[in-house]
Amino acid sequence: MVLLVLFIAIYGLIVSDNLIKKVMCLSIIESIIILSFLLTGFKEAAEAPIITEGIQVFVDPMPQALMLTAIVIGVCFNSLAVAFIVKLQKAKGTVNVSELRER
Amino acid sequence: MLVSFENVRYLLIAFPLIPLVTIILSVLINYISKKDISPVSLIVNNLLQLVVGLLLVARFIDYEGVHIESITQWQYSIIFVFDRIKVYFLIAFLLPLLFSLFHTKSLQKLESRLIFLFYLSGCSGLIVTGDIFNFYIFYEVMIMSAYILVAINGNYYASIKYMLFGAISSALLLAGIILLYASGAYFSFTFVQEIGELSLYNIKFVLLLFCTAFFIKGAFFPVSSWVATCHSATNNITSSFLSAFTIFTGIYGLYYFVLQPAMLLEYEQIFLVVKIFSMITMLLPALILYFEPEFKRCIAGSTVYSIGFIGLMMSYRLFDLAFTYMAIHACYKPLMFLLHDYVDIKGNAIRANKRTLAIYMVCILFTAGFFPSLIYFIKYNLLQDYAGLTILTQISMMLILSSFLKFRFKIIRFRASNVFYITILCIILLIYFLFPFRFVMPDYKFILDAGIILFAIFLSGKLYQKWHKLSALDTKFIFKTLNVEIFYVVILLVSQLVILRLVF
Repeated sequence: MVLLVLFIAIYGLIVSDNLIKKVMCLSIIESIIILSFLLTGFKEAAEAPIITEGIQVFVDPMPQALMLTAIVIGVCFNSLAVAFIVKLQKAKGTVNVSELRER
Repeated sequence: MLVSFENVRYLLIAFPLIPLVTIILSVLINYISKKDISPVSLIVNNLLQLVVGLLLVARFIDYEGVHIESITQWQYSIIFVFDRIKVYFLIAFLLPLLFSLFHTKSLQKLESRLIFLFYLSGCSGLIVTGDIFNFYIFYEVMIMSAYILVAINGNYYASIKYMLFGAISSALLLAGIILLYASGAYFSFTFVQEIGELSLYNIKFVLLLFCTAFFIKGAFFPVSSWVATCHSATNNITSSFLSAFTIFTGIYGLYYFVLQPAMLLEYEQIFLVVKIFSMITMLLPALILYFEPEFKRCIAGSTVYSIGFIGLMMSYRLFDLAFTYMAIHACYKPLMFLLHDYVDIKGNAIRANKRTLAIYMVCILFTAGFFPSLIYFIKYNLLQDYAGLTILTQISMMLILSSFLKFRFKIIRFRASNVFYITILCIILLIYFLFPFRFVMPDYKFILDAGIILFAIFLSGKLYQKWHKLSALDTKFIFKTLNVEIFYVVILLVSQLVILRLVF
């Protein structure tokens, strides 16, 4: 399932002409990567990694801590990208890559 | 020694913190007294970072080991790592920092100066960091600031293009980090020590993902189209940093996270991949550059050729030679961008004063790698051992030289700061004095080089006028739309899978 969604997102990233859709596809790819990392720390019937008395089995806290940072970076990226796309729409009147020329 | 190892700890922590403290102070003083002190604080920050950086260079330039500093005693504490190779990257950061002291006026608003300080903090953190996850975080701090600095002049398309390529490479890097963690390794720069115990099959995929990510960050062909667009779209001070340091983080990552583990595993195919893509990166972007009609895009695009040359030397394991090239590149490339402030461009004519044009000529010789530039001596240090590369190198050099000579340079009267020119002269003399390799001068090749220069002049003259229809070859044909450019990432990934024999 993860691979299927990943391939759809990559396909969308390559084929889509709309910059907003490209950013959405990138966001999906990033979410899949983050989910995959969280899965590496998952254990069946384990507790949250807040270590108190009586808790013997807990999930690996490392991926969770690291992926929180990655999520924050992702949010920054998305907000910045969307802000620039809005500015580009105002300046050029389009967000379609086939209509936007560098020169 | 100027600094003892006990004090190195404070230098390593202070280096990325100085710009952050400067930001806080500038904002606080602006809020309290309504005075904008950021022009002064930016200069003070640059001076402080120069001092700390030079102390680190002095400490580590002849140090053979790997110095590891942990902030706390905790197992997962943030660690800083420094070794002799990082000195080269530090120099590549310090040189544009020194030149930028004379051009801080390019950053006109408080906001742009603060973003620039964030950028400097990201760069500094990237140099001293000791694990790959913090490398990723500092890289993002640096690159997010760079996106804003590119967009600040109104070049939103260039910034978005930069963002797309940056995000794709970061996604690949993150995927590699996950696979590495899932294979049982931690993210330290010294993870190569543990690598022998991991599953070789998994590690091959980790190296593949890292290699692709760093190829994009380092702008290896065919994922190099963004360089000319993005590096030329911003103010000259940012352009100089982007082309002297930021793009070389790809080389930095390639060395630490791909080639070092590959050497330990004796995984030769990775070197073959780097060699093949470096050769293409030397030749094709040089050809594209020949048809490039804009001067600033030419300066930006020529960095890709240098990346190819450095990659080639790395694929032959000549790391010191490669990183010396990078440090010298960090001297002349920022100058080419910063002197752009003193230049008047009308069509194909570049008009500037005598001193500026003289420095441009020296920088062009360095870029193409002709005598008496230091790149010439680096090139012959490589060609002495690997003569088979001669034709490829000479063709690329000729194309690079003719791509600059096609512009018509004219002298005009224009006043500029003498201190800046004196600093440039001192730095150029200093790097000649400190050059660590042999000054190889094979006699018969002088004639060959003279022939190449003459042919380059011929190429840049009437012949270029005839081929005018091919002008802007990259955006008209090779990288026609953004979708095609992104598709090249898939081609890069698949071709590596085939060369590394991980599929088929």
